Amino acid sequence: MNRFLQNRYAMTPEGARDLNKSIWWTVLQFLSFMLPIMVCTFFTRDVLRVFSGKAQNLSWSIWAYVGISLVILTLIYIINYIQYGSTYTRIYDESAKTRIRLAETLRQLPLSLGKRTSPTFPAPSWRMRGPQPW
Amino acid sequence: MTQQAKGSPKKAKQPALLKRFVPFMGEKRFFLFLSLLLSSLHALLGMLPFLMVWLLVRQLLQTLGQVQLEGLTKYAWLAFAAQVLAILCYFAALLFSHLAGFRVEVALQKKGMERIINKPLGFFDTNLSGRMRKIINDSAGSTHSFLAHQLPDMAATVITPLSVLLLIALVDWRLGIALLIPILMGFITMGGMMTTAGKAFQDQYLNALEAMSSESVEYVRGIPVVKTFGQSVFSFKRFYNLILNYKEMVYAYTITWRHPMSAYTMIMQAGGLFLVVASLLTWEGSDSAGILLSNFILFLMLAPLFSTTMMKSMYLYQNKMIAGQVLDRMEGLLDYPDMSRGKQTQIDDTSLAFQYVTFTYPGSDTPAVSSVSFRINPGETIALVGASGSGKTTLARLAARFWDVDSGQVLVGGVNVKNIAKETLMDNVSFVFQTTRLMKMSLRDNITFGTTNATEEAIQRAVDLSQSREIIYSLPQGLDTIIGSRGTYLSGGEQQRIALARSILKDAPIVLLDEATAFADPENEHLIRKALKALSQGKTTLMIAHRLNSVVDADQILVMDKGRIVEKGSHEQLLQKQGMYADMWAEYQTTIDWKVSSSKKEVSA
Repeated sequence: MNRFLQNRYAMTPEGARDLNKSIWWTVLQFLSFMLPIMVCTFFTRDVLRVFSGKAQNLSWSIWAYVGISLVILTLIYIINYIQYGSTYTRIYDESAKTRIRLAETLRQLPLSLGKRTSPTFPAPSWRMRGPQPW
Repeated sequence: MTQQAKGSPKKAKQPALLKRFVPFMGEKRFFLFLSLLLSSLHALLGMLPFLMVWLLVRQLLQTLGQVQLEGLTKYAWLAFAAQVLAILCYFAALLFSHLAGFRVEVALQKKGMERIINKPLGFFDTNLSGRMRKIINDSAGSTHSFLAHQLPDMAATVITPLSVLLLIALVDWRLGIALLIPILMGFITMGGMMTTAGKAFQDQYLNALEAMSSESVEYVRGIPVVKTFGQSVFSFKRFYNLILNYKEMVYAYTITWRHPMSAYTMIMQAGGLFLVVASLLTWEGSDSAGILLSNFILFLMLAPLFSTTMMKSMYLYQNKMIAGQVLDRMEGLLDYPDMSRGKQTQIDDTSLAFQYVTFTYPGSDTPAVSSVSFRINPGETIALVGASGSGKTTLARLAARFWDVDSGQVLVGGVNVKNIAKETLMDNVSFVFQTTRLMKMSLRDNITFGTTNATEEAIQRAVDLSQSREIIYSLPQGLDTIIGSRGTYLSGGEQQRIALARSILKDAPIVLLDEATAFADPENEHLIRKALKALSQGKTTLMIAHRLNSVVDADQILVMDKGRIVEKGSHEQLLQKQGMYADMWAEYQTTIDWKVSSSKKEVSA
């Protein structure tokens, strides 16, 4: 996975590793967003059971709902905190490294690139004045 | 005080952002209002499906066990129709906002370019091309993005929350409060983003990006030097440091948002949980379960709509801030003081004179030239020599009115340059700089650039006198070859000779030569020297040269040091004085001897 990310997005090994981590934390983050929906669905079903006469009272007390809500919120906070760190802060490290690497790559290109000659069409002034093969 | 300092009055309060775009819209300004109107309709229609679903659920629960589809389908159809209409309105709003965005983008770029072209020449010395490109492109890009994508959301950010509040009041205020609490908490948490600190960071962020962009252009330009001396990007310290500074600044700012952002995301996901707890608090037993459930479902649907709209308003605010700032930057860039326009179209003769001229560059405390006076009579050649930074180039540029002098005056043909019409000044003055830039057009167009109605004979003469014939012969389509296309590039010396052909064809009576052979190889230097001789023949010439052998024939040589003329006279007179010029000449001779002896050693080896 790391190798794939490194090649696909031209990243450093650390960058690919960080991206891999942040992908997994983002998956977890979105899964954690499902938890409040699950509580709401459970509550709706519970009220419907009472409304349709299948049950006399709700399954959980208000305190049980409050308790479970607090646990879910704490979990969401922790997952978001880690996900934020792994995504937003690492990206600036990687982009700085990419900029420096790009500058170095540019420096290593031949001086003639984009200047006097082009590999597909040498400059006529050079072509005509150089030693002629015929 | 410099003219830039003089020309920076305190900024007046800017009008609302949308109003600032209106002048760029021309006759199509109604696109903006049409887009706002359609997006308002979209927001209103977008509320109807929620209302219909609520009514449907309510009726369904009331008629549990005896469901009548006829009564329920009308709600479904109404919800469907409202949603289709809302989508159509949104598409139309987007269409008009995009048309407005493109119009403003093009108008901004055109206006920027028009104003840049009319700026004094000194403007281009103080503003790096990379910075100008970035500011103009960013202004156009950001304003387009803001208008095209955020404008339709603008109406929704007002209408949707108001409609939700109305529903809250009508349906169940207790559940409404439960819906609003997390949203309010979220906004309090993120409130810091809207403060001046957030705005200051945006400013810092744009500055850092701009500096990095300018420096990257300089870096690419300087690559040949970096390579030649075997250096790396780490030796290009400024660029390297700017990359690191940018990273550290954004990193530090991002870290400060780690807790608030996590809290905000948590609260925004907690809407449903708040509603569950509020519903339980209002639970009055199984009899009220149907109404409670239908209201709960309505508010559960509204919660994400409300928070998404509020989130959009936050992004809208942020993008509005960015669009406003880039617009400020463009206006700031173009806020360079314009020079007074001279009206005189006639000059007495072709002399050039400096009278007690003092000039300080913008932002500098030390004058570049101090109380300099000399005169070049028609047809005379005067050479300026001196160390780098002694003020030679500044004097040549003041003659062409790159800037206005702080005190004293520059006279062309006996008339102060400030009073001469720009066209007249440019018709009478030709300049050849150290580096020349040819435009991507045919050689013929490059040579005739600035000269109207040039005859073929005159062009051919200019080609011959500038020693450019050989260049023309070597190109497949001769004078009609387009420079810069299909790998057709000329060396620095060749470009200089073509630029000289342009000046020869222009035939201006006053010629300013600023180290025209500085970057030429020996072969080109010889040819350029011949071309320069042809160009300055019989003309009033101000010549700046670092290779002293090219100034020995000048009528007078002025030696400059720290912005002042310290010696003057002919070559022989100055040598006899045994002063600064004699020292410079001796050093120059040593350099030549060293070169010759080095070559001899290489040959013998």
